[in-house]
Order: sequence, then structure tokens, then C-alpha cells
Amino acid sequence: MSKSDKTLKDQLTELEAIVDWFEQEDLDVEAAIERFEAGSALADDIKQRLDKLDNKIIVLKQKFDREA
Amino acid sequence: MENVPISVSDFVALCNQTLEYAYPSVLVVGEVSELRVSKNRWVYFNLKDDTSSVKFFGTVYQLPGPIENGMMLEVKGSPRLHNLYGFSINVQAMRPVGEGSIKKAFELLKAKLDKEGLFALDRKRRLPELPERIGVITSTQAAGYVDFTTILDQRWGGMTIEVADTQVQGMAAPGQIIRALEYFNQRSEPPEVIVMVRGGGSQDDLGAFNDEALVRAIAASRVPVLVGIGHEVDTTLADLVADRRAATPSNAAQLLVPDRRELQADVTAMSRRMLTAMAQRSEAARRQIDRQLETALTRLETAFRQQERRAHQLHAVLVQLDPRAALRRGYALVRDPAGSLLRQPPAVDSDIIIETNKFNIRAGVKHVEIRQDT
Repeated sequence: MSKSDKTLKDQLTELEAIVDWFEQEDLDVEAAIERFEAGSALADDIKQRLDKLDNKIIVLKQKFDREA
Repeated sequence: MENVPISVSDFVALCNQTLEYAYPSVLVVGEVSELRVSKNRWVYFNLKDDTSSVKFFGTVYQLPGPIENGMMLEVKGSPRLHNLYGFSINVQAMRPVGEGSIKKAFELLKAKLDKEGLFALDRKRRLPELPERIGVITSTQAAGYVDFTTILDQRWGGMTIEVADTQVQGMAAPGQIIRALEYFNQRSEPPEVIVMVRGGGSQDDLGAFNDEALVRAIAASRVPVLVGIGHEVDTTLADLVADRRAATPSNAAQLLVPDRRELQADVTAMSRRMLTAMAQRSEAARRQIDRQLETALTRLETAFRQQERRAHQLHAVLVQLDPRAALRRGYALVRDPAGSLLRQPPAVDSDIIIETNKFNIRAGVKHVEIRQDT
């Protein structure tokens, strides 16, 4: 996939964790602001990565007609 | 040449030379008869039609599946004159043809493989969730290939897709597909999943995917296999034995990877959830602060009211103590001519100033009597 440190899967897991934190009971307002900014940045990054993902299609030169 | 005698063996050799030159390979279709399997290795049968019958010889590994007398078979082979046993055709490949035979062969093979447990659900493995390396076996000329790759590209990226170009119908197809399967399986880093796709066609066209050897090769694949053949209604034995079956090549792409557009929508929804949670919490915090403020204000107000009442009370007392109130009630202030209040008895014939509510009187003292009751 991508060469950056975190895989897409890791980023998605992280974002889920942040959103879950928001929906728990008591929120510390300052911590909330911090996490909100981190979460928004993460969301944007993920969406951009999804856009840029490209596939590499290689048609094998091999012929499979006869037994080698 | 006709007049020069040759030996029998030479004659056989000559015939075979000619046959090999003229008919290296023939394709014959006919009805199976006198089928015989020997030592579980050699297969002998005749193909016949209304007026003729020819012997065929092959191995069990060439069988497309169980066959029976009466089935219509298409056989590719090379004709030979055996030195002892006469003329026969050596089988290279074969497959059932005609609706009846194809159906019959299908039913026989299905029953056989089912009995062996090849279609059991617990044999099927889960496909990897976000595969990075995919092996595809298909014909790059076929419509199915384009459908599959187009939808795959739309839905997801970051994958390396290797395509093994094989035939997907006809007699050569099963062999090629099997070799492609083996190729992918034997790599030091095999793909995470193998996808087999082809577009729609008749039962005959899809016949390769009912070939016994191919079905067994799919069952034996260490790499999970996803099969997407033809249309929704088409079910081949390859479909039954695969780890996962897709209705069509397009459906295969849907089953294989998530849709990045859906995921982007999910991520947007997650952002919204954060925002909502923030807003709700701010709202709750604000309401709490309001409540606290209100409580504080109420207390202040109560305290203030108390002070106010106290002030009123003190004021009332002061008002009472005000000397002018006394004057209004009829009392008088008595001062000496200098203006100081009279505390000592005045001298007779001196002047005093009597201050009442409404007027001041300057009067002369006639007589002073000191009262005993003070």
C-alpha cells in the first residue's frame, strides 16, 4: 500500500477510537478540543489517501497452454 | 512400390508415419460405448454414430469427470495403428457435448465430489479483508475481465493484481487454468487470494468449470479462491468448490474489496459524530454553567433582600430616634441664648430659646423648680 508509517487500516482504527471517546460520558473540554483537531485531520488524511489509491495491474507474460 | 513386399511391422510403421503426417490431431464427436476402465489407469471406449464405430484409448487423468456409455463426447486425439491391437485413437483431451450429455456428466461428477465432501461449508476459507496482492485467472479478451478490473479500480486501490491469461472455454481451458492455479500457488510469495472470472455463456461454454481435474485443483489450492462465472443463475462445480462464490465478475470485485466511496462517507459520518458530541457536550456544559450561575444569583438575591430588610429596620429605628420626630409629636427642645441645649437649670430672669416643631420662642425665665423624679 502506502509507504507512510501508518497503514490505512491503522488510521481507521485510530479514528474509530477517537470517535468512541467522544461519545462516552464525561468530556474534558480541553482534551476534547485537542482530540477533535486530531480526529478531523485524521479524517481528512484518510479521505485523501482513499482518493489517491491506485492499482497496479500486471498481465503475466507466461503462457499456460502446454505443460513445461 | 505396390509390388515390393514389405514386412508387417514395416507396414505398421509406414501407416503411422503417414497418419502422423496427415492427421497429427483430430477432433471427433460421437456416442460413448463399450467403456472400460482398467487398473484405475487406462480407459478404453468407442465413439460411434449410426454407421461407424472407432476405438479410443486414454488415461483416467484425461477424463473430464465420470462418463457413461450413451454420453456424447468430443475427443481430441491422434490416430494410430497399433502393431498388435489394430486401429485406435490416442486421447489427448475430451469433454462431454450436447445438452443431455453435459447435464449427465455434471450430475455424475457433482454427486461424486459431493460425496467426497469437496463442497462442504467448513472447507471454505475466509477471503482476506484488504488484500494487497491478488492473482486473477481469466481471459483478457473476455468481457468479464474488463468488468472485474473496472469495478475493482472504482472501489479500491493500492493493490497489485497479476493476471494469468488463459482460455476460459473449450478443451484446452481446464489444463491452462490448472497450470495457472499451480503457478500462483507455488510462488514463494503467493497472492493473498485468487480470483477466477469469465462472462456469461451457455452450459457448454462454461463446461471447463465443470471439469473434474479443475475442480479438484481449486479444492487443493492453498490460496483461497473466489470464483465469479457467468451470470447469477449459472452454477458450475467450480462455484460449488470455491471458497467464495460471486454471481458475476462484477460481483466478485464487490465481494473482494470495500468501496472507497462508502468508506469516505463513513469517515465523514464519523467527523459529524465528533462534531455533534462536541456540540452536545458544550451545550451540556453551558447549561450546567447557567444552572450554577442561577443558583449563585438566587443566593445573592436572598442575601441582598435580607440586608435590605435589615436596612429598613435600622432606618425605622433611626427615624424614631430622630429628634425632629419628637418635635413633631409635640416635644420641644430648650436651648440657652448661645444655642446649646439646656442641661443645667437656667438663672431666673435669663433668656431661654424654646424650639418647637413649627416655631422658636425666646422667653424669659420666671421660676425654676428642680424635679425629683429624674
